[in-house]
Amino acid sequence: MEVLEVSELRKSFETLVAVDGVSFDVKAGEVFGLLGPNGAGKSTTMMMIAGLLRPDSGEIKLEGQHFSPENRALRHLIGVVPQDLAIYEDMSALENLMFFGSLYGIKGKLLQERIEDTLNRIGLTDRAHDRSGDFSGGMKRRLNFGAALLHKPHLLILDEPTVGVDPQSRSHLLDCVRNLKEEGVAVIYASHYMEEVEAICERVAIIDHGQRIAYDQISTLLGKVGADLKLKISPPQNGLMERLKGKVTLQKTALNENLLVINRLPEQREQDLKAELGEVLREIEKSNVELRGIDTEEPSLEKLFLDLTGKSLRD
Amino acid sequence: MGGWNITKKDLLLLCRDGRALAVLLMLPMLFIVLIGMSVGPLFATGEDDKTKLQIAIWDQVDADFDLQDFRRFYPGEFGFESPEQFEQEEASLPPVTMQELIDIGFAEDEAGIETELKRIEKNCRMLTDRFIETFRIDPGFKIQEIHSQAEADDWIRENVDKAMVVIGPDFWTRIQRLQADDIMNRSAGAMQTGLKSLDISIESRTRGAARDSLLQRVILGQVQDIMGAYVACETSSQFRNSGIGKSSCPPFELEGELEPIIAAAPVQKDPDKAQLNEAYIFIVPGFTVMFVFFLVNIMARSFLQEKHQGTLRRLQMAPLRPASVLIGKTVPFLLISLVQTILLFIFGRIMFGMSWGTQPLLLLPVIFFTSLAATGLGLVIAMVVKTDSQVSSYSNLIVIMMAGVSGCIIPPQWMNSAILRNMSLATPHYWSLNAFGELLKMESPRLSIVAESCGVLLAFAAFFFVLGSVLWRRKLAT
Repeated sequence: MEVLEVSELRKSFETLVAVDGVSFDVKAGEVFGLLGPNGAGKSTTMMMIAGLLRPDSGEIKLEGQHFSPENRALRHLIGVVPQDLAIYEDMSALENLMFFGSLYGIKGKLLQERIEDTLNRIGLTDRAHDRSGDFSGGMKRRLNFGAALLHKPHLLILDEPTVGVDPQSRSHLLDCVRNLKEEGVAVIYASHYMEEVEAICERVAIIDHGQRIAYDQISTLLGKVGADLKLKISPPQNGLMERLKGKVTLQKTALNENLLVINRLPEQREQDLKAELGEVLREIEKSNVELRGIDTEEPSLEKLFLDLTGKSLRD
Repeated sequence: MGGWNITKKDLLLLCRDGRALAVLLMLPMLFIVLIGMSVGPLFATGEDDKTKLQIAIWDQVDADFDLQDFRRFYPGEFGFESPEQFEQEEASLPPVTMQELIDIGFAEDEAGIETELKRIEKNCRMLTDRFIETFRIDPGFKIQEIHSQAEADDWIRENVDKAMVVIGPDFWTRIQRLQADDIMNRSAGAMQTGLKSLDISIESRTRGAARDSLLQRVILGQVQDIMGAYVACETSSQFRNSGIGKSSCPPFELEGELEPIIAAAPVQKDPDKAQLNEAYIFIVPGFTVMFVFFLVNIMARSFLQEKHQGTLRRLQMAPLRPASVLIGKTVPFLLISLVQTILLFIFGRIMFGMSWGTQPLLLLPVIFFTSLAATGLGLVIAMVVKTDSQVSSYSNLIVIMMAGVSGCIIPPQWMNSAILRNMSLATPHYWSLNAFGELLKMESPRLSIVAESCGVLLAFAAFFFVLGSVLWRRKLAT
């Protein structure tokens, strides 16, 4: 069952088109990855889903119902964990959770039970009465996460929830997300950590320049990415690179090794690859360059992301 | 309900913010104590002086008469056609003898002449003193008596815009020469040239047409009141024998005395305490109103902090109306402001015995509407500023400027600039002080003034809240 359906969403700020016809859906019990470089339009998309911005056109449906910023009743269905910490540092973890819970009309015994459950989930039960300003970065992140869970949202939007946390807190937060998924919560997970997204998401949408440029199961998308061949060699000489121009690229590794990279396209036939590799090996031998090893780079979400969005720097 | 939760949260945060509490409570208390102790008496006397017409009186009359003064007082009895003729010839005249006075009929013998001389001297002293005394007990005047030329010169030099009334040496001679008709019809008789005809002058380094004209009228009126009966008794046997004369004339006999002046009974107060109370009646409301508006700073900072720490987004995403969030964020500052004002008034009362006036309950609406206007202004500033440094510069500038213009720091009546006085009307501070002044200083406060001030404060608050709400909605939309 789709918890969220986004169709043809558009939003402009004066002359800048921030989101241009983005559509996707998220099902109950699914962790959906929303990816894109900085300024691609994913934050604007999430703000519209959270009811903070009104789309110029398009539609957002929550559990089949039309959602707009004025529709306060449906806001109970949404929980948002913002990228920047959004907690009161002069209040304890308990006071923060009590306050954020009360905003959703939860009170009394129910609020106490939800707070206990949330503190347990985020691993802050022992520090509940401590001032949150004195917490470590990871603990603050966990509290920031917990503040969005008190009203038991059906859709949880996580905007880079693991930025700046230690591996232990990161692992804990990812476990929390998996547990929420098990409980049937639909999760939108926006992150620049591709390995995290690969680890917990089934489907992703990649947005760039306001447009959706990829949207599918991760496995399907990765099937479209070729596995490059990498030949580790001694420094190239005797005009090797000139002779292989257009067929390979030269890369330096962190250990300052020379890598000849043969880009492999997914649709490339095996015999063409063999012919190309044979030619490269012959040229290496002719040039008296030592071949030290051959490696294959498996397709990854990061490679897919870079292939689709390019390597030029974004603001 | 959600709004109330925001209010509770902000109250909790405010109570934990030592700096905010120091600015809102400790700083005004410190200011009130320091200003009160250092320049409080200045405010007190200043307030008093400004409401009174301050003049100096130099009485040059020498009431030590001799036989020659009979001729000076009554030149007609000695055959002169007019006082002017006598004054022209006076230097060449032979001395008046006792026999001459007996022959004219001033008395039957020498003892009678001596008695008459003493009676005139006594009346001169009694009536001149009464003339000065009426000014002294008049609450509209503040009198300083001058006794020498040097003292007069110093006073004139130091009091540039004030006037000195000089009762010249011939004052009593002129009084003695008056007839009943002169007193009854000042525009036709011997008094038609005004003060000059009585040898009285008004001296000052500055021209003050209104002040001098007022003084002239008052002095002539006093002469008529005080000297009228004496002149009538002295010059009209018909008056002396009339019913009024029989009751009015005995005080002018040698042993006679005037009835004491009936004046309002002075309120028995410890003068130092009374003066300080007067000072704190100005200082406490002045600095309280000034510091109530420092709330603007704290409030703007709170909104900004909410935005910068990302929690404003959480509030926006919660199922609350934008108005609930705005009210929830505003109410704590209104409550803090009310508590702040009430505490400062209690502080003024306990520490300095400051009076709360005759109708202390009426202070409450003034306190409420002042706090409401301050909270509204705080909302507008909170919606305009974008950084902490903007909060400091904008809010402090606005608050201190408004306090300075409106009379929180210096009493408005001390302001010489009409522009400043007009500008002060455009500040909520002025209206607040106006109402506080009426309630704290007046024995019978005029409710119309208090109501008018509260109405203007409410209008200020409404304007600020509407503007703040519009800016808030615009802020949320972006």
